[in-house]
Amino acid sequence: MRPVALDIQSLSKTYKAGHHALRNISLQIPRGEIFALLGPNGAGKTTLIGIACGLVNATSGSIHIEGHNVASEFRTARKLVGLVPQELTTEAFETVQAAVAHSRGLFGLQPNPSKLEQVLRSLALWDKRDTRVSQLSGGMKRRVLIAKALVHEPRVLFLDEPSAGVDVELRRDIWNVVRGLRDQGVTILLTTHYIEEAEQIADRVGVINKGELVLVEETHSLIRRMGQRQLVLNLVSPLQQLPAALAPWAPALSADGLSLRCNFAQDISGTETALLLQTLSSAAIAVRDLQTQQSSLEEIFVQLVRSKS
Amino acid sequence: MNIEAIKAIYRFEMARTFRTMVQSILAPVLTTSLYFIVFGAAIGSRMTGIGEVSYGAFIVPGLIMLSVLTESIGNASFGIHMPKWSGTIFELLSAPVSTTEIVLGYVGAATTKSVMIGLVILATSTLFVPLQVLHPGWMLLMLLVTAFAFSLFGFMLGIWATSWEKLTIVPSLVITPLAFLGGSFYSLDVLPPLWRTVTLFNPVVYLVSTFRWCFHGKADVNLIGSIAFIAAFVALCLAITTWMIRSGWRLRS
Repeated sequence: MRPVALDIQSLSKTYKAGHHALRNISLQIPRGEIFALLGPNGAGKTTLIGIACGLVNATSGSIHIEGHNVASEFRTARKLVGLVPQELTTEAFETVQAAVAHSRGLFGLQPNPSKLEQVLRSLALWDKRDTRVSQLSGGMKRRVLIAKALVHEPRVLFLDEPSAGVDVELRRDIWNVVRGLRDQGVTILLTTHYIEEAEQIADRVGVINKGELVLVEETHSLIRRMGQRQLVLNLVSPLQQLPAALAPWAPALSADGLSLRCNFAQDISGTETALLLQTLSSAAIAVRDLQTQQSSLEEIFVQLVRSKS
Repeated sequence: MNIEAIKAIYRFEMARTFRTMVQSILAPVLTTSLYFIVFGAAIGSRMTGIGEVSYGAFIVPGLIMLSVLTESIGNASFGIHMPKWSGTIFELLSAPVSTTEIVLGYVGAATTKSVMIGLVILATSTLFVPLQVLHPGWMLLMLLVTAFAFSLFGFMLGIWATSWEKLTIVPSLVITPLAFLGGSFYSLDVLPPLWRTVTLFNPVVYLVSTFRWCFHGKADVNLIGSIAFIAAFVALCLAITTWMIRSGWRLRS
């Protein structure tokens, strides 16, 4: 069992206006894991990150980063943490290089030109190092924010909606950086609206809705468990009646009798398609074409949030 | 102590000062020169000196204090209000820095800038009036302490203010009148007894009076009392700032 890098215990947050942003959240993330927190707007994702990073005071409960309480041992805990916020809040008049170097200093580390260069290069910012931040495009500013969060070599990285409003190239770059960090043992918690992102890079996903952690599960097992697979068969000649042998797949026949839709659970052995085709063949049903459809994390997510609310 | 963080904040703030050099340094010099032309040459030539000091020389300490007060407050309040407004403050709040380090970085930079301005004005004034500084060591210390005290006050103001308008309200409605009525341009002796007593409730009087003593060896009010007042003011500002940063008042949600 890997050591726990991020330990959240019974965390609650009620804002002054009375809004319950988080309700009794407990979550443990082992070192070196990429964890994706999914949830609709206002679910409490940013509040959770805010408490971990010292931007928001918790109402009750605690967060430990690598064993250090973020409130009572804030100095040790925060040194280990990097934060890329959702909003593009960067300095305006400083150069890229100065802004990133400033971040390293704030976290108590001496200037390190080679580390600075390595971070800027990994985010394709090296050529822009002497450009003022205000002159950069939105995507470049996002890169600067990531560089600022990485330059003090954090052990736990929080990315709040890292790919909101970024182009495909930058999203791929971010994923590469995130995977590279994970390989170095950095723990990553990211929030996202892009389910595809969670599917692509997260080891586990958590679904948060209305301040409650609805579910935490390994990404692939969740897709396997909750996901449905459908096999759509286009037939050569219209079928008048459904053979009884097909009953296990709960088939649905189209009105014209030319298309047959069968359901699979995801956790099947993989031989079931062959079995179905065999069954069709013995019933003398000729298949012209077939296609499979798999439900994505997005559909699972929508189902989950709907069923809980 | 996170020395690197203090250095980072200090460098960052000083870089802003040097980026806006013309506005930061030249503007106060120009303003002061105008004061000298109006009060020193035009009006001052028709006024008798105060004690043994010419009117032009008499107003120098007050003019320096006037600029140091407004510059300290303006610079320190802007320094912390700007990141609050733009959102970049998230980084400071998520960094492993304590109240002491934040104050030393921000207030230290604002203090440096104010002291620089004070010295530049002092140098400028020698172009207009013959000037003597009887206690140069005390003069530098007073300049430093005043700049620090009001930078600290400005820093508090920057955290307190929830808008740019509020940020300018206190300096223009409170500090400027206090500074003008704090004996920068006149000796308290010229006031009727009632107004003299009222004036003693103005904290700026103590600063200007003590500062003038450093130049001309003569003060309107008791020196020890002035120093005690300045110390109490610094202590109060430090206590409030510490509470603000520790509790996260208007900084953390």
